[in-house]
Amino acid sequence: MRRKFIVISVLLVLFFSSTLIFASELLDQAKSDYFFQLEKYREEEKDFYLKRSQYRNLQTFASQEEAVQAAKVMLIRRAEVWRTYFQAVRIALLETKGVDIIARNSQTNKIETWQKNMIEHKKRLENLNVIDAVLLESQSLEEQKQTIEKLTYQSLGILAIAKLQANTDQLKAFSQKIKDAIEAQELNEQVKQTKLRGFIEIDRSLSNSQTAISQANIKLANFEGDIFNAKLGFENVQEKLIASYDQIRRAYQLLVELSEGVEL
Amino acid sequence: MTDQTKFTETQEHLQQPPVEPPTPKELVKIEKAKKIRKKTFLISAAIFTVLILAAVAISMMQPETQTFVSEPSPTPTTQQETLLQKELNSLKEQIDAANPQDIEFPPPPIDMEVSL
Repeated sequence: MRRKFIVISVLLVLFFSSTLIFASELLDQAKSDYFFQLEKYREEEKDFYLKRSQYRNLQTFASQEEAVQAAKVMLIRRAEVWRTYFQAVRIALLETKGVDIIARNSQTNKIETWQKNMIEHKKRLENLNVIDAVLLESQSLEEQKQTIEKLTYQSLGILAIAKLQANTDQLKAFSQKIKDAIEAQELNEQVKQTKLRGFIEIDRSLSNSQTAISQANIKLANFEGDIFNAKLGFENVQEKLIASYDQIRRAYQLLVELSEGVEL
Repeated sequence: MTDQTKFTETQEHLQQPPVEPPTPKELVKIEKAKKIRKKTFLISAAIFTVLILAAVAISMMQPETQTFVSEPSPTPTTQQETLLQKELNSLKEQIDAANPQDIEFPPPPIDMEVSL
């Protein structure tokens, strides 16, 4: 009985400690992997441009062979850059507070599919050596450029909206806390009323922020329609979010002023 | 006169009872007890190590809390102000991190149209 208790305790402690460490380090690790792959890609890209330039000047079979090999190395790395980038975005979607659960599930599923696609693309490239086959495989990914961009900017939009939504909610709760503290304080009635009027301004700013977030959500929903310029679509979402962000900052400044002399 | 030393040595009732060697069953029991003690010690050591590791990990993840604890005995007023200030600072950090113009993961700046 005692032994069982000890074993269960050890397992529980191990589980919880490992979960804590795991959760905090997962995103950092994913980012680090992505930046490592991107750095490697930069080096291999330079090498490819050099070899391509030599081939264009010399037009020999040997220089063509070198250029194809350099292209293959670079394209394999490109698949790795995308795979690790998607991994970082996927973890951010899972860890960021305020992300809508339906959007989170749908987006992470799409990202996982594309991670698998990148692995398959990489495997196919590794087995190719003929110039036409390498270029054809590269082209197969390039044709999906718009879909990939759409997925990327859509994820960025979801993350940006979630962060501002979390800020708006937190400010609302904190503002109520300060307001309650002021109401409970023994203050000159005139001073108290002036301070309480300030909260009407905070509420107005937060309400404006919420409206802007709702508009951003509508803009984001347009991503589901026909494929269009994803970057432009994201900029439309961003424009609404900047308006929300300005209102959040205004509410925060007012809250700082009203918090002076308040005892929690 | 009798030699009293000799008397005590020779008296049967004062002599130490002869030590009997442990039976094989007893030996097994002793061995088992030793093993259990060893296991308990190892498990306790493992729990202790894991707890220390968890404490270190948690303290590393919450540097603000550590700073707050290590402050030299603040007065109640200072403590209240610090608590409010701390919450406001935490909010400020979260607001700064949510600037929609700062994209945390911009798409990879890589060429998607490669030609030879």
